[in-house]
Amino acid sequence: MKRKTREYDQLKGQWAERASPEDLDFIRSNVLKDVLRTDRTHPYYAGSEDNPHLTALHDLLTTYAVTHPQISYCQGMSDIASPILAVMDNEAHAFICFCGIMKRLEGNFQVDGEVMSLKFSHLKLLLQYSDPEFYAYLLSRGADDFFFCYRWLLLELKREFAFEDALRMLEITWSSLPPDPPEKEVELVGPPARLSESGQPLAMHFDRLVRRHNLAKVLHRAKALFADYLQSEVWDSEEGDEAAAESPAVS
Amino acid sequence: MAYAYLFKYIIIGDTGVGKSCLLLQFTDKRFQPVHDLTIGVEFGARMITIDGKQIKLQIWDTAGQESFRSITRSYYRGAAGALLVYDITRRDTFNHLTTWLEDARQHSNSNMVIMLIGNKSDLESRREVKKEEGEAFAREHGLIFMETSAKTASNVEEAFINTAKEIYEKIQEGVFDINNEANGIKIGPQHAASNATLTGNQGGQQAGGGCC
Repeated sequence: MKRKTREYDQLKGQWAERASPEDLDFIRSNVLKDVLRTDRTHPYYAGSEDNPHLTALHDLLTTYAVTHPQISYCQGMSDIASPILAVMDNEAHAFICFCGIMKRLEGNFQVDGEVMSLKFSHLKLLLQYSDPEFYAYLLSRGADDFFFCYRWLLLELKREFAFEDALRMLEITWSSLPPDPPEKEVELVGPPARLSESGQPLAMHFDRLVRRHNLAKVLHRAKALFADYLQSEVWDSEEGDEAAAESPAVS
Repeated sequence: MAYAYLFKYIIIGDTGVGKSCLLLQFTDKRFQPVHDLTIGVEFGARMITIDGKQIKLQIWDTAGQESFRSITRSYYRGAAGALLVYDITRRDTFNHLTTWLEDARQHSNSNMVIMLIGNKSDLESRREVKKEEGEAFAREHGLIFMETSAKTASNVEEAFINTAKEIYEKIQEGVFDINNEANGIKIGPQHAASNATLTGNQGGQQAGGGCC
């Protein structure tokens, strides 16, 4: 861990070598705008804009962007990094964890949107199975693109719960993914950049519930749904196999 | 609450120009300096009165970052009005207007009313874009224009309401086909009740949005 921390400190000193001044400016200003709008009501990030935790979150995300030019920085990443930093309370350690979780989540942030499309199709499939009546309603209202669930999927539901509940929920979902330990140690640098390169009032209802969902109830329901799902025919089908890889196992 | 019409709006523009703050000022009459950045699309609604008629505005607030563009585009369709917002203290947000406008025109219906908004007018000392430049851009592209401050609430009501007035006038002139929901306009139960020829639409299903 000490060695990795030194490695992080080195990478953090290499922003100017790894990115052009224009790119670096662009990344830094985007990251800063978002860091100032991420979990600021939580005591760890509250107060004035020179709160050192805000600087740490900014530096962590900027370092990630310049060392992972294929992914760079995208909105949403600050919401994923923020709870990690608040828990680790150490910028370098948080960076290492963030690199680890981004191996699983980086697809969410790819420009082509393919991974997100797949997640939407899984969600559709799951809802069709678990609540056909509600699914039919969404269909009748032209909301079957499920775009109103974008934030849920991109941020792994992090924003839907109060901060402390979100920590517990992320721990459950992240630890229940199929084990995929890195063969060597966690890489802190990504591959180099490629050279060329109907929402409804229902949705409004969900916006009002930001940070207000009841975690205990949701987990209980998720557990029941998952148990039910494991016994279903969908589970046996090919589509079910795909969907299962995305579905949170709650135990 | 019963309404005569429902208009759908979309708010677009670069990240950090104050789109969500404008919406919050309009729907809740407050300014929240510390708030979450918008991911994807968020929603708001408020009732207004034009020409003695209750009109419900249903507003889609989009994320400004490029990576969300594919989903924000899908909301252009079905919008009767758009607020295109830049930040008067950041020249780059003004320079990007052409791209936003092209995008909006390409993906929306051709009658969509677009209001150009220069936000953060309270920050006069940091101004980078002159009011005249905003006016000239609006004139050149056939947009309505206003400078607003989501912080002091200056012109916020007017921006949303004037857009609605323009849409309302277009309805009166028969420019909008109000029976086609894809235009972002719905006839509500209030209107339907007072005008038997216009019944048969789905406005009455908007039960209890609880927005205002």
